[in-house]
Formats: sequence, structure tokens, C-alpha cells
Amino acid sequence: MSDKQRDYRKELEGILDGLAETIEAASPEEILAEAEAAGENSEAIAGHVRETLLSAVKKFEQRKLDAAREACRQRATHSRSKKYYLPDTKEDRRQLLFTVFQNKPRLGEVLTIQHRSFEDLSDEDVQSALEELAELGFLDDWAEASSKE
Amino acid sequence: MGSWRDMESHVAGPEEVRQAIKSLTKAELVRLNHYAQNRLARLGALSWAYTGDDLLQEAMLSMLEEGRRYWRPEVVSLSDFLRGTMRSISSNWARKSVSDGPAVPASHVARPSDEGDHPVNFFDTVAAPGPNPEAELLNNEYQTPEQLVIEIEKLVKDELIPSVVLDEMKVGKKGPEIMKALGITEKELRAAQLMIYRRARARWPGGMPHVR
Repeated sequence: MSDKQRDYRKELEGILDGLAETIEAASPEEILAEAEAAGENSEAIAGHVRETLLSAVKKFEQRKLDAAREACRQRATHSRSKKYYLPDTKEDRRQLLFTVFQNKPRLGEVLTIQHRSFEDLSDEDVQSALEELAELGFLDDWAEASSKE
Repeated sequence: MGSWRDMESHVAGPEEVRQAIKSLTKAELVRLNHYAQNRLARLGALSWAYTGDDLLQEAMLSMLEEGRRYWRPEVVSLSDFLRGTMRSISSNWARKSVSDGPAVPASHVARPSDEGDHPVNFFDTVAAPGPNPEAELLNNEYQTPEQLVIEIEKLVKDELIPSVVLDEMKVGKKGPEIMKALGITEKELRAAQLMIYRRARARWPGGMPHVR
């Protein structure tokens, strides 16, 4: 085959696909040995890849949180005129939020993404979480029961 | 232990994924890195907008975002799943870049911040028509496919089996086809491919240069 007829781009693609096949067929330990034989800092590479993957998970959670906040904000805008009542004491408010999270674990998951655990929520966090939940109508059952007492 | 139905419907959530990432071995992480670099190099001139990290991040995001790809830990390891996902994403980028011009990875698209900033206008992230000074500069540092192929050929020119295996790879043949064409065993093929791989890594430790 003369050089004039050679399609180097296609040839390079073939080589790279073949090398990808090599990476897939080889065990991770074989690839690690090759990397170290080539003088690569495998420890640093591994650490960097791990951080890259973990940061993608964090980015995903942040987006999910942003989306949940935005949805709450939009719903709250539509129901701003709605009245709601919260318990008078901070202990009762915390207890109410705990009850809501127990009944609706998915809500707890979203609201505690930032704080990691329920215990870490400050009194202000509890208050604002309850206000958002009340605006969204999640406390209607509680409000109804309280008004009957 | 749940029923098989539970197993089938089990899709890993962020926390499970985080733990799985922490459990990946050094060897698995290095292999992922090499694979990401390989797929980026395969994109050729279309890869100027991306890095191996973009591909890794994109694979992870597509796995977590609902409705894109689902990782079922009982069926496939995280490492194998990510490799398959990177293969598929890089093919999509190649197809999309050919039809629409180089695309911006989803992981690069700005979102509103906690302070309520507005996301960056998408059109501000797209280069204006005409020569892009940054791309021009990079272009000068790139190699042509011809330069790269000739360099790779030189790496194994003195090795009989690896050089003929390389010739078969250049025409797009896969493992079984190469074995049949050359009458070699799988062991010989793998040894030859690993030699080509080793020498290419030694020549370009950080991955092959971008292609012009």
C-alpha cells in the first residue's frame, strides 16, 4: 500500500481501538504494572481519579438539592397566601419535623442532604423546613388535628 | 435478602456509589484513567473541548441522573460499568461533534448557585465563529494522525509479532480476526498488544497527544 493511499486517521483509530481492547482484556493489575513500568505515578493518578469521581457525585447531589429548592420556591410562591400554624416551642417544632420525616422518609433525605443528619439541623433550619413543608401542604393533617384539640 | 424482583429493581443511589468509589483499588483507578485517555485520544480532533476527567465525570453523572444509565451493583462492577459508559459517551460525543460541532459536556454547563446567581447564558459558552485563539494555539501543539501513526510504528518496528499485530490493528481488525489472520494464539496476541501498549505509555506517559 503506497503512502498516497493510506488513511492515517483510520489507521490511528484502529490502533486506539486495539489499545482500548488491550486495556479491557488486561487485568487491572497488569495495567497498573505497565503504568509503573512506564514511570507513571500510579498513586497520584489513582487519587486524582477517585477525587474526580467523588466530585461528580457531589455535583449531582448539589444539582438535586438546587432542583428541590427551586421546586419548593416555585410552589411556595403559588401558595403564599395560605395560612399555617407551627408549634409554639422549639422542642415541639423539632418533634413535628421528626414525625414528618418518619412518615415521609424521602422528604427527610432531600432536606438533610446538606446537614447529613437530623440532629445537625439547627432550630432555625427546623423552623424554615417546617415553613416550607407547611406552604407545600405537608402539615395540613397536623394542623387539622391540632385545631380539633 | 430480598426477592429476585427486589434485586432486579435495585439501582445504586449516591451514597452507595460513593462507597463503591472509595472501594476501587489503585489498579482499577489507574485502568479507568488509561481507558478515559484512550477514548479521548480516539475522539481525535473533536476532543479539544474535553479532558479525561470530563469523560470520567460525565460517566458518573449519567449513572446517577435519573433516566440515563442505571448501575446495578449485583450485575456489574463499578469499574466495568464506568468503562462501558465512557465508551458509549465518547461515541456519542464523536457523533454529536461531527453533526453539530464540538459539544459542551453536560458537566461543564453552569447551574444556579446557592446564592441564586443565574446560570451562565449557554450562548456565552460557545465560541464565536472564526478562528479561536486558544484552539489555534493548541492546534500548533497537536500532531497529525500521520505523525502519530509513524511514531507508533517506530515503537515496535524491531519486534516481529507486535509489528504485524499493529498492521492488523491499523486496518481495524479486532482480536479474533487478528489471531486468525496471523495464525497466532490468544496468548501471543495479548503479549504483542501489551508490548505496543507498554511502549506507547512509555513514549506518552500522560496519554497520547491530541490529534490535529
